[in-house]
Amino acid sequence: MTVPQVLQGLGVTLELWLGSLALAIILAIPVALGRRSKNRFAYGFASLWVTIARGLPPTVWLFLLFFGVKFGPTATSPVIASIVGLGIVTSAYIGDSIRAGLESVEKGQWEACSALALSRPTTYLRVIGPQALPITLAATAAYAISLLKNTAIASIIGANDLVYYANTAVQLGSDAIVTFLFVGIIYLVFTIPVGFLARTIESRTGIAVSGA
Amino acid sequence: MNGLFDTIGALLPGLGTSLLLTAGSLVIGVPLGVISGQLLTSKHRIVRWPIITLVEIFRGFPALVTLYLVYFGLPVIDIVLTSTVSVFIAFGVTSGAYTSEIFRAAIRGVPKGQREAAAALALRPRQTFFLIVLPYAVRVAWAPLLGIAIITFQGTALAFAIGTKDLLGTGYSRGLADSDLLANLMAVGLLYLLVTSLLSYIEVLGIRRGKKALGRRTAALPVIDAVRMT
Repeated sequence: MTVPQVLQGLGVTLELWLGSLALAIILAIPVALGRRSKNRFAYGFASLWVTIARGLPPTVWLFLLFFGVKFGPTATSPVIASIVGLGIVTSAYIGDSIRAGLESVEKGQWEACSALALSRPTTYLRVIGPQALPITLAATAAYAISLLKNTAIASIIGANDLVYYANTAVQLGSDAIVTFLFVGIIYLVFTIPVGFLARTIESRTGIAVSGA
Repeated sequence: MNGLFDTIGALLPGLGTSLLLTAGSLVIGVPLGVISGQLLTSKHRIVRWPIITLVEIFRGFPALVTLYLVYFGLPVIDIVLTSTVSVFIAFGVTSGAYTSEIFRAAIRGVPKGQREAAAALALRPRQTFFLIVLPYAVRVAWAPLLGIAIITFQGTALAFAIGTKDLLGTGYSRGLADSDLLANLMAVGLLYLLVTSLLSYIEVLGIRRGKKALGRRTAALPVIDAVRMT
């Protein structure tokens, strides 16, 4: 097995990344709304979700879903277990960036919407959403980077991603330094443009999120 | 209930190992972060760019890849390390890359007057850095540093992959032996959650105090709050 053959794992890595990112965004919306809700139950549930999602290391989430839960799709497929686990963890972070985006919109905008008797969907989609988007997007891009790096964990439970193939190549005699540097650089190829994007949104909107 | 307490008791040595791995990584990472953070504020490009390159590499590599690079890679050039030392080095450089951004922002946030006063008192550059700039920067930086400590603590679960008997490793072996992985992994999760929550609580208190102490004058703070996210 030659070093470039490690690229066989790229498809699964991207599947893990985009799959868990999509799941995280879907889960993040109720999390953000719950954390802003005046309903105690909704607020409590969303806060508990965030605490537990962030409180367990991603590695432990993946182990729990793959080895701990004995039934269902996460027990049979390391890829599905990883998408679900990473999706749960990331939903807490993206939920907070959606909330931060919503909170950044001036109070007067909400008041104007209710003065104009706009419906809730119209208020969110046409007025508040577009103004909240830059902050949410910049923060989400930053989390998308750490999410991509976290997909490497999936190889530990047997998902055949980049790191999995790199490990196999090394066990079959490839040079470990060359192989793992090569794999690391593939991750950089994806994280550097996304980081650049986050910083561009940041500098255009004058907010600081990625810190780099 | 008794079962849960027995499990947690059996996992405590593993938790100790995880905390040791965290401490060892930070003992390497924080000084690396101070040095590279200071170098990042240099006026000279030739000083800045090699540091920027290294920081981008170790922030951009998945920590697991860096760990494998150290554990499987270094033996290629005849440096054979135990798994514990490999974790120290791998997570040391990783946390060093993250903390360098925090220290860069914190050092930049030190008001100009502080340096001017130090110059007026004829302090040497080294004295100025260690007696004036660094203590000031640490006051701003310690809460976000706790954020890095949390990430590092959670990251040590990756040490399982090279066979360390950390908290996850201990829980996993015990789960296999009991043939009850769910109960053991849940107890593992509970312990991680407890330690993480405790550290986050201190961090939040620290961020609040930092904001109060420094008011709105330091532009560095929002940047520092945000470094935590990546």
